[in-house]
Amino acid sequence: MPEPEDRELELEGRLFGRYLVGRMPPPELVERYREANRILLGGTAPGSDAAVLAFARRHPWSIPFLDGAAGLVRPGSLLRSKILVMAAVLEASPAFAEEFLPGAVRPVSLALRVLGLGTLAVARAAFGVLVYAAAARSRV
Amino acid sequence: MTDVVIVGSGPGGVNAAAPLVAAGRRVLLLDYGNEDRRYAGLIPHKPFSEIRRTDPEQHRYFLGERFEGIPFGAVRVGAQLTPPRGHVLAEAAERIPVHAENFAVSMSLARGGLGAAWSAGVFPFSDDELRTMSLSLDDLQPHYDAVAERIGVAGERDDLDPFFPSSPSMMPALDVDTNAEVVLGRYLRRRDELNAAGFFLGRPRVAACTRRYRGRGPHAYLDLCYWADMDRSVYRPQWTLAELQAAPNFTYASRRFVHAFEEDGDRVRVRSTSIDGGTEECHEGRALVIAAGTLGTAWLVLRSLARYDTPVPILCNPYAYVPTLNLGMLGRTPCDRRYSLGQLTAIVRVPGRIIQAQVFSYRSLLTFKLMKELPLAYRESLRLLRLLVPNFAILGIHHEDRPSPDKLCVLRRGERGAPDRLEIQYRPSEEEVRMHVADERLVLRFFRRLRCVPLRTIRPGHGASLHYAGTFPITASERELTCDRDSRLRGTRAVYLADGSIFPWIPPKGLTFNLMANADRVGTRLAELLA
Repeated sequence: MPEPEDRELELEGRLFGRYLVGRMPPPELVERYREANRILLGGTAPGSDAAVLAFARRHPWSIPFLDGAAGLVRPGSLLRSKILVMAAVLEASPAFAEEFLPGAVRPVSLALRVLGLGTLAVARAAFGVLVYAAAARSRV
Repeated sequence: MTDVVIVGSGPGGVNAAAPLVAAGRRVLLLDYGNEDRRYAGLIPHKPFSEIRRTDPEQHRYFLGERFEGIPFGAVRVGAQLTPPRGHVLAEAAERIPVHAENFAVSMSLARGGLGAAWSAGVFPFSDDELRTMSLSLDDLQPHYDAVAERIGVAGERDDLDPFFPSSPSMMPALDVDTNAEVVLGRYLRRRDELNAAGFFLGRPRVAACTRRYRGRGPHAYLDLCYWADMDRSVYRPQWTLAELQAAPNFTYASRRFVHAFEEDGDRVRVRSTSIDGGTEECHEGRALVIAAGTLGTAWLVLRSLARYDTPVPILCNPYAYVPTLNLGMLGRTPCDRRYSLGQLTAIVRVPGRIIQAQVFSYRSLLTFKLMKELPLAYRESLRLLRLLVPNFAILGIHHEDRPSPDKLCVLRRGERGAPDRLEIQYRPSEEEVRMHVADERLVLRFFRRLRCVPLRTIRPGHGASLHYAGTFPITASERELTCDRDSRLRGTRAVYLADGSIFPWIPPKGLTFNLMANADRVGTRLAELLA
């Protein structure tokens, strides 16, 4: 029977993996995420960090907004650290390498995509600041 | 009896040992000797991109078995110290404690010292620069040549020739990557006007083999230079150490921590602790060469001479890096076959001095490390970086460094059984800082003309270049805690320094090749003196 903390980490691994690359990571990568968390991010999280994480687990739709807001206002937050760990785990696996290796595009397409991604990121961060404030005050 | 005891197997130690051993002197090299026993064997001899797509074990060396390759702070110092290079810094901070505010300290107790993670740039000092150090190119050129022959240097005689004296044994240059090719092509089209304005660009000289050489190489362009020493193409001091170990008059004593020396008549006694057994040992020689790295040497010398609380100078090239968007790369597909180290070297000549910059591309250090540098949601950061990374030309800009009353290193006595510790205070003057900012702007102006648009200037902080130097400088004046022209520590009979300690100031060039040449000079001179 897995411990509650293990179940939370497993859920985070799946949610953050799908958030980053749009696909569910296989169990061995979720397990690697769990192990990395135990080694790198063990210990008690500050109250607001724990609340934001719990909110993200309860409401997966909020992850892009919380991440966008945290990138602006709390770049060193636990949520950001955990998503980064999942990014590292995904990047160092053959199944997801392609999602991280650079791809060449035509200059016009590049400009349009950079503009689109920039606009999306700003919009997410703006709404995310409100979601983040609510999440930080929510129950753990 | 041993003729010469050498402390440290880094670039200085092995290059001081080589001429001594060749001249038949009996040499004992004492070393802590940490090695990577975990990762090197895991990394396949395949291109980086193929490994990424095929090797299910890649997380073990890319992230590390304790996930030590996942840094949470900003990219600052030692980004190239990947998990397989982690042993280079291991245990040094515990053995030689250093207290420094706003100054990054990296020391090594590894076999090969910091040279085991050297970025292999070869930047010999010019005659003008050496003359202000009480030396000259005539003094050092034979040793530049000897070291180039020993370590293997690839390069090209190009516009950088006036700034970097050449050596006859130079091999053909490494092929630059697509990113650098584009920048170099544009430079060549505008060369006359850029040269007239004081800007020069060329291929870097790199301590790497482009053909089979002394059992090493040729470089296979796998883009794994930050992860592994494939084919031993890129030089590491361990390669020279292995050659030395074949000589009957050379003894390598590993797992020793040297903590003191003293002179007694015509001999030098060196005291060390055996790491494995903890026993105290004493080694005797007719002369001692200390090449423990500038900070390690400062600790050992000040401690042995009981010069606690006595400040000595400390230098380290100030450094900034600037990601730029190389517009010439837009729409181009970068070639997969590449090496990871510096691709181009730029020199900007300003009245009375130079500024030096290196051009890098970013790929094999992994994208996730850059994601945290952007203040965006990670999903968007990842997508943006996938688009932009092939177009990044990253500049590393180096400035010269000169001593000042606010750049000091002091040894403090350890209290209650704690080891003695170094304290470093490093505060460049406002004028120096202004000059660095102005110089960086000037470099960036030239790169804009090469269609490289700067995105952000990142100053990783003092000490970040790891080019520590200047603690016991060569001077003409008979001051204590300095060296004479032979690199002999004043106040001693036969204690010589063979690392960055002896440079009274540092031009904006990597130190390593220069300290190797000086170490070769020390070894050559000692071989004569002890004949």
